[in-house]
Amino acid sequence: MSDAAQHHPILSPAFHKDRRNLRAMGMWLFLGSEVMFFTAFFGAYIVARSASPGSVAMPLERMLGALNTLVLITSSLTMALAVMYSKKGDRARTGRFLALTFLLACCFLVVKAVEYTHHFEDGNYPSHDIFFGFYFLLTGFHGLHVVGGMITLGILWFRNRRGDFNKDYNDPIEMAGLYWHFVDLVWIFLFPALYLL
Amino acid sequence: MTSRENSLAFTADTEEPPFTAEADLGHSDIVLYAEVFGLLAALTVLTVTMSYVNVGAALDVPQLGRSANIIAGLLVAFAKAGLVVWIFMHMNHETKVNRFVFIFALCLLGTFFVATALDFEWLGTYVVHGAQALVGM
Repeated sequence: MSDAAQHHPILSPAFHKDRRNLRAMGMWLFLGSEVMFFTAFFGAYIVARSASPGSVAMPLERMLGALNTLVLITSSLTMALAVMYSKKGDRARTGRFLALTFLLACCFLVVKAVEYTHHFEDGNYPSHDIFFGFYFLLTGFHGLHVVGGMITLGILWFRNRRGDFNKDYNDPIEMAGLYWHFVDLVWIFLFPALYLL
Repeated sequence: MTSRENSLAFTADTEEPPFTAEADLGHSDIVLYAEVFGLLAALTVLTVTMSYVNVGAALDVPQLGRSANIIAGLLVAFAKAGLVVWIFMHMNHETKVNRFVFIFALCLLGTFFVATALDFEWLGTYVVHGAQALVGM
């Protein structure tokens, strides 16, 4: 950073920090509202489970679910690395890790599509029973969040390539990272709730 | 400065960028992220393994029945969520007010679940009115 920029009040490090913190607050508020969105469906699922007589044999393929869990936590790792490199101003590595995160998101959706195909082949449509109703509701909305994240990642990849971000300005990548980790967070609870417990 | 020159003298790879506090921060971040990833993967394996065993019987509390598996599974999920929020989402470096914003949302979430649990666990509303089987209607 040039000497003039360093002493300009608008471009001072304190300014970058304040702007980042305010944007992060907006993102945390948004994620708070997202928590509420999933809570509504999750709460309904818990009530249905608790009110359901007898034991429940979970009808899903655990290993496919576990595979998708590993895919998502790997994508969280690559996203965290993309954010880290964007903060260091390393455009090439930022782009590489954004692309890797995007590819892992694709993997997740492919596995999910395989699972959905198996359900439909077995006649397990959302209307089959209460469980599959909740299963498609929860994983469907989670899948839409993954797609939304992929669109964001794609846009950021192009903006990063174009040179929109540097050491001092990388808020969009960091905020997209928060969102992406949140999508992972939702799956961390969906996986045991739907596949295991 | 002397220690830095010494450390370089022992390094065969001269292409290494010079040691700076910033580069070191990045390197330790990678190690931390890798450790968190390893923990997350290990906890995933643990929770899948637990789903194949009767946790209550294994821990010598068979009276808990299926609840033991559910409690153990949720504990693992909370541990994983904690790691993601604290390290990957940088809650450890977040400002106090931003921490408050998200933690308050989680408190509202807790209120929602407690209020719902009160309804069907202790008042028995749903049991009284009868319920359908969840699977295989």
